[in-house]
Amino acid sequence: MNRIERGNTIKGLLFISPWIVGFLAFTLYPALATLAFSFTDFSVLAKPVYIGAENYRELLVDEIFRKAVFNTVFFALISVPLNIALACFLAVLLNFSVVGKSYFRTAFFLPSLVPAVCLGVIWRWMLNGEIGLVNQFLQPLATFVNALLGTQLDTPAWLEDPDFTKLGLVVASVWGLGHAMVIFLAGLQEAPTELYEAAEIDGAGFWKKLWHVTLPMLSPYILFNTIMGLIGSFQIFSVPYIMMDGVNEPPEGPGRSMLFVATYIYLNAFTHWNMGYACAMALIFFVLIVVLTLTLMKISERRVYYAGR
Amino acid sequence: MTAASRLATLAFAALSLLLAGCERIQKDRTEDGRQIVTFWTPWAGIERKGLEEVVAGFNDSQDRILVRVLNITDVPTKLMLATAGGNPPDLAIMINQLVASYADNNALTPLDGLAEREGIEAAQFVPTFWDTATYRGRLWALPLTSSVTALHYNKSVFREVGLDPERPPRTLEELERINDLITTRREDGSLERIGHLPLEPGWWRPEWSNWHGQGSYEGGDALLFDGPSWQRAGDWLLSYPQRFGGQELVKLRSGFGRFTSPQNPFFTGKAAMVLQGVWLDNFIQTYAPQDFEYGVAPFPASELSGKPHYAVADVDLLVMPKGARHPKAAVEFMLYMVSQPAMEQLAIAHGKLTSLKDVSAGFRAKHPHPYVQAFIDIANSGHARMRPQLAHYTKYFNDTNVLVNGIVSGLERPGPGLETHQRLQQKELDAKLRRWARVADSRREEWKEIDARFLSREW
Repeated sequence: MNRIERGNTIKGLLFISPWIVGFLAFTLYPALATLAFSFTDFSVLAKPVYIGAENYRELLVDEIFRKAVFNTVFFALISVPLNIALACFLAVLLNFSVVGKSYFRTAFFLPSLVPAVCLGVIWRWMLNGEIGLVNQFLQPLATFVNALLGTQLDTPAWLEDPDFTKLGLVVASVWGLGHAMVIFLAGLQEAPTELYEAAEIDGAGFWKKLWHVTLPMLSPYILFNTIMGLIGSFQIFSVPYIMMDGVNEPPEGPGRSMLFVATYIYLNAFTHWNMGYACAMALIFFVLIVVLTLTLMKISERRVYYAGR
Repeated sequence: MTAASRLATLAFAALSLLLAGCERIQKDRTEDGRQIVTFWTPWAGIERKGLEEVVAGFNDSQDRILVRVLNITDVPTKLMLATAGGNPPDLAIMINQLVASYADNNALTPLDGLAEREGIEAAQFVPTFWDTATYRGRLWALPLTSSVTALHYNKSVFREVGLDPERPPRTLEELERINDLITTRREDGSLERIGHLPLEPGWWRPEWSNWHGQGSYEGGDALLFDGPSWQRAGDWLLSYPQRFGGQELVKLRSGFGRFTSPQNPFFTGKAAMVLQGVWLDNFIQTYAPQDFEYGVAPFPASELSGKPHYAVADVDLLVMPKGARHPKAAVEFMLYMVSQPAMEQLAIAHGKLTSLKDVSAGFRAKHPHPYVQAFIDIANSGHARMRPQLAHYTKYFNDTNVLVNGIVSGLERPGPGLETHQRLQQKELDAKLRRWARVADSRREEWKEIDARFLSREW
């Protein structure tokens, strides 16, 4: 490295120094501290005491942690595919040249700009069992089905019945699909028109084109959105926390049905003063997300088409 | 100077400025040299206004100290973080349930030295309220405004079903008979109104065993979820889904509005009897209909409990966090706050009780609560007690809440539920006791040093 190169390197490093300082202080140090604290009994206020792998042993038999993991995975498994499918569907629809196309694109994207706290409050009202809009809409439907089939269907108590709380949250999470939709839309613009023309010449209709051209061209975006959606839903915290506040057993929900891993980590760290335990939990969950992401990337290798390659 | 070294100097200067900024933002003194004492409270609205008037009285009474009240949301978490970060306020209001965990974690200043110096004694306070400020044989706070729970019942509903509105139930069994009488269903079988529901409002669910005998924790190293009182409480809770249907109760509750709204189920008549504190009258005046008519009585205990009634006592405690920067000035304000005139002024503004045993003649007359005497009687009855002092209180509260709700909603059976709960909660208690055992000796030494500082008037 000569003088000029060294000078450039120093300058370059200086220019990115705010990021480096931020990364070291607010990402790397906390991550390493999490690892260190996970082997201690640490109440934040008193000095941490080394206890070996006790936190991890405890986690293995913690029934509440298992429940939180179940809730989180259950939510992710329903909300991620649903959100991806809906976002993809909307993107395909909004890709048609229809009147007011940009209006619809904006309208569908807007709800995803609503902050999580507002979303929680809005859906707390929307899902209210007695006066909520969702049930007001479902009630005539239930009455109609009951009259037709002689059943006794009733609108659910979304926030009080543990069988329905997570489904309520899934419904609320659909509001945030705007981001995924925009990414799909961008992906659709990328799909070369020659492919569609070639398919048309070969006699492909709308569905065949969708299956054989659109979806393969969108596959990298589907993978990206799936990974981001998965990480996002594994980190779900604020919306259920707010939704349960003041309604039912805050913040865990009836029968712990709204206790997610992030909520449990937060409660242990900042409410129950078990920071060491919370760190162990966060670390386990971090490893879980990394493994899942890598697995997803591995199994999708043969299914994802990258135009550049 | 090269461009790179200029840049480096600039970056260094910026970083130094940033770090200097982190060090201290608050000022220690006002422009005219008065010592600033920061005071965190969770109170907003009329409660904050009431406190500010009392504080203004102190600030105007002398020219050396200025108490600055800061309204903080979620004081417990923020106080913990500020104390851990070495930058706590000088004083804070804390709910009594959290004293055990804060004291065990060395986050509070013990006040025994101060009490000894200033002649502050247990005898001056209502015993129930004084107890909330003591833990491990030490004094951790000065009790300010306080409250006890009582049965609040809707007189119009009593009249409607042919009951004497001036004769509230005297045993829990009688309350349940009235409950059955008041509860009504719609044509489709769903519940329209309930007499009483142990989940409403839900702030004392973990304490229900007290109405059947003992609490969940009576000191020592064992929790009592597997004891006879909780067994009886479990059966009582289970009688709700058995009589009214778990799903029906869930549906009824889904129509209950928030506590601080006109949709509060007690105000709308959907729940006719509730366990509530002395402050409820404030909210009745704000949110209930004009013609809302209610009565207050001790909440009756079960005939098998061996006591006539029971009440949960809650106190707003004035604490000095560990590491407070201006203890000497803060102490002056603390002493002002526990004086009878200041405490009564605050209690009247908040619609609560004072923790002091002696009440001035004007207090009852000026107090806005129509039933204030009933609450004073309950507080002094010997049947009002604080919630358990557990270092893992928040977890105890959360988890027991979930269990009680599960039983009443028909999701859980009391037998296995209580058994599992006992095991898990006992494990938590054991862990906290182990944590305490590791530091107990060094803490006691530290506390003695603090006592000496108070006694020597250094603080």
